[in-house]
Amino acid sequence: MKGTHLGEFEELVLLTVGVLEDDAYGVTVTEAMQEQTGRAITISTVHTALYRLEKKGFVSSKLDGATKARGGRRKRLYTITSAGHAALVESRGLRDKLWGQMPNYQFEFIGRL
Amino acid sequence: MNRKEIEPPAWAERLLRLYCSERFVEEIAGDLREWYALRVKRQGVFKARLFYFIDVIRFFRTFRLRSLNSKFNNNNMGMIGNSLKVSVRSLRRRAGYSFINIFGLSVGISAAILVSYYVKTESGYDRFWPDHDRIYRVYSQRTGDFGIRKDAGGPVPMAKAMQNEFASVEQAVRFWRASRPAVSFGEKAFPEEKFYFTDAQVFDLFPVEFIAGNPATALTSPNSIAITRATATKYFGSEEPLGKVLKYRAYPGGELEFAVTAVLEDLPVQTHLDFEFLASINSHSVESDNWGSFKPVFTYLKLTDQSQALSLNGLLPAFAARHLADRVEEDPQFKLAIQNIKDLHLHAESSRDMKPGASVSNIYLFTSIGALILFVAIVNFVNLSTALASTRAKEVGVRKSVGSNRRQLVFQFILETGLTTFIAAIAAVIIIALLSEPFYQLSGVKFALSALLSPFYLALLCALIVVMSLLAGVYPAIFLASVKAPSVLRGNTKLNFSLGIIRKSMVGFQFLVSTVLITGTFVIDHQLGFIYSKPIGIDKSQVLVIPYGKSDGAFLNKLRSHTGISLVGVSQQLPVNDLNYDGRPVQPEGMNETIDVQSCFADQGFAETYQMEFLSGRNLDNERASDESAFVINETAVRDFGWNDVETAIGKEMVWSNSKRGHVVGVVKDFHLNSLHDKIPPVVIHLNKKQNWWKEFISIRLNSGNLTNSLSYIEREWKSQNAGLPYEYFFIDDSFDALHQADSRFHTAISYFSILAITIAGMGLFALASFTIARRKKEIGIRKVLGAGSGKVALSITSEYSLLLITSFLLSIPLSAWLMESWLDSFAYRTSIEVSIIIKAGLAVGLISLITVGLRSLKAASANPVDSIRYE
Repeated sequence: MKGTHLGEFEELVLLTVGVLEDDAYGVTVTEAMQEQTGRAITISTVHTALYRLEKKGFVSSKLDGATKARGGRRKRLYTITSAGHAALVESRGLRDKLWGQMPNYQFEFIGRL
Repeated sequence: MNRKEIEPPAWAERLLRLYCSERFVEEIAGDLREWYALRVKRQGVFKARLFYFIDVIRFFRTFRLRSLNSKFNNNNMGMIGNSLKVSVRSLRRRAGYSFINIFGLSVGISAAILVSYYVKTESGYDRFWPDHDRIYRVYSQRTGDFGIRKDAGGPVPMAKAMQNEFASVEQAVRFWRASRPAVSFGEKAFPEEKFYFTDAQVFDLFPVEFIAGNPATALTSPNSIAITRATATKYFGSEEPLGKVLKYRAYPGGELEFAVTAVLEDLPVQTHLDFEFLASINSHSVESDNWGSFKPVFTYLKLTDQSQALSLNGLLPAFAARHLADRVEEDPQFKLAIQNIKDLHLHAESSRDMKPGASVSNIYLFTSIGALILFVAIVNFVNLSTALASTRAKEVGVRKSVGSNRRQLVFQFILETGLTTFIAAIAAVIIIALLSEPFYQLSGVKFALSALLSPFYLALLCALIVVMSLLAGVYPAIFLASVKAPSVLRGNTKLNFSLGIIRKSMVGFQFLVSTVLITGTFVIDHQLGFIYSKPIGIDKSQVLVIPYGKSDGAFLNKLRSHTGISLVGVSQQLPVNDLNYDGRPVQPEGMNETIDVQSCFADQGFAETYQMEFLSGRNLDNERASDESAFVINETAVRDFGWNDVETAIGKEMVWSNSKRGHVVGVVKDFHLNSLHDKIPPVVIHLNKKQNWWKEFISIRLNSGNLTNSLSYIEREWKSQNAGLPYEYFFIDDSFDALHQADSRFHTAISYFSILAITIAGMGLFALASFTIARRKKEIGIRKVLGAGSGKVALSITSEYSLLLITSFLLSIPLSAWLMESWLDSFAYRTSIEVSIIIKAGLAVGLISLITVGLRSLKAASANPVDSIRYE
């Protein structure tokens, strides 16, 4: 596997997969992300990100759960792997570390008279 | 809930299945369907359907592509990388052959691209004018014993008459070329050539880009002028041009002043229009209702519709009969016709065009040469690739025994040739970049590398790569793929892969093309040599020409008295020049009809300065009052006038231009008035002491010696005499060279092409000979062991190619004779194709190929036989 770097968007997708537990697939992940971020997110981008995450070993998938709403087609359900979890923890640790070093800024409003 | 609300558009899903690999279709289609249902709820059916389609498109990613995943399994994907590696290695292993292959091919590709660019540029003239489809130019056509002559110029009132009389003419506009005016602004004075008087509506037809000024009003009032950007800089530098006043002096109009009302962007290359000044035509009223004289006045019509062109052409004979009755009476086949502007650059074939057009035959010629060179290069490439592939039987055997299937082998070989052509294409781009400057000088067409990015050239390059990879790759691929692995591995590496006849005829064809081109170069060389050494009837060396301007007799005498100057003459026309033209009818004694001659007013000094040879009679004499009605004519005139010989011509009577009656006093030897393409016309030279308008040029014969001194003296004196007028001078032998510049350029172009062709062919031959030698290594060794000398062995190898060369040489003779005859026919004065030229060309090609093959075989023959026999 080439790089295992986690991009910003991928990190969000990975987090969402973690949050959704057993029901993480294209549609639900996209929906949840739209709700959480308030951004318009296209389903194809999410699919691509999920595909990449799987190649990097951060999620695993299985085909299951055909429903009538899907025209009898199965969905690819994703679950977070321990490597994925570790990557999230590492990324969070990096942020926490940087936050710890952030000085206490006092932004004043200096209006122009 | 209706069906549409549940079911997404089926065709969009089909689209998904079309590109997307099986592996991903199910999950994507399922997700999209759920997503669709959500969208229908939130945004309505229409938007949901639209976005469904957009989503399908957005799912397009290379990793989901059907072909990569379904047709090739993962192992195959890995093999592509491996095949590529093997291809690169095999190219590097035989670096010499690869270089020849790539270099030859890239030269061929770059020649083809440059030629196609030239042809595309030349055939795409005047298509950028918005209404080009319905803009036409009028021309007239005369028929006589000179053949058919088209004239772009016409009478001044024609445009207005056409606009008034034909409903289909929406707008008519004239361009009247001023006769070499002197234009000045303060101290700055220049002789100009691209100065036109034109109608105010000109910008309706030709919406030139304006930098300053208003197209609607720029030329409406008299004495206004629009100039191009470059001209503005030339006269005003960085000053504001608008409102500045330019002085003008020439025919028509005499002395005029113009206020600059507009600055135009310089004209693009791809138009036959060629002006720097556009002055309002209502600044003067010269000839405004004279139908009798055909001036350099070009009439352009904008028709209401393109379809009107045919019917308008049908109405023109009646129009000519109405307004030009004299002409029609004189020449029943006289006609007026219109021609679309986009055809003018290539198909006008008329005299006095605004910009001289390109010749269609040159375009055909260059197209065929470009195609031939590309073909030679491809032939070479295919030849070498197939030859080289035959040495790889062992490799194929090994590959087969470890499990390669046929398709993989074919793929491997095609990939290899594909890689070669790809590299060659890139090299071609570099070669084009290097050649763009010489190409510009040769063709006058500037090649912008960015043009290669246009769809046309990208497609052309891709097509070339694909076609050549297939041509060169398919045969060896299929042949080698059918090799029986066991027999090859058992050591039977000799393959029956001769292709003998085909390969040899391909080499022969290359040499045929090269020989034809080289013969062509020699023939052109010979003709140019003939042009420059042919006595042209005058002594053209050391004759300086300056404008007459406001000079007078005293000034001429001052010139004559200078030690650096031997002779001075004044004249209306010049020999070997295309500056002017004055055709007049002459009625010679003993004939009823008139004969068209070139008329030239001149003084006594004219014939003296050019050292014209008098075959009989005497020169004109400035001092004799009776010589005011005397004529000097040339030999052609004597013949055309039906007079027996130069002696009896003396004293004969003739009437010049229906007005001047006089006698012939002398006959001069024929001299060339124009290039050697044109026949020498009958010429009449005569005095006109009462008037001055004809005094156009002063010709000065300089003594050899201090030339710079004489030149600066002449310039100084002329300027003090002609204050405010532009000074320009040229040497008559330069103007002779200029007349044949196009021929010289053609010569250079053909030389380049023949060098290219012979280089490619030579390299191909070299590589092929090396290859044959490599395969006959053992044979050569055995021959030597048995006692053959090096020379004999070398000869046996070389002789294999000699027959080929001789055949292609013999075949080239009729081909080049036919081609070059038609080129030579464009000259009124020409050489013939001599046997010695053909032999010379044959020897040149033969020598080049013998050296390539001979040296290579000599090297092989002188090798120690022990090395080659021990080979196994």
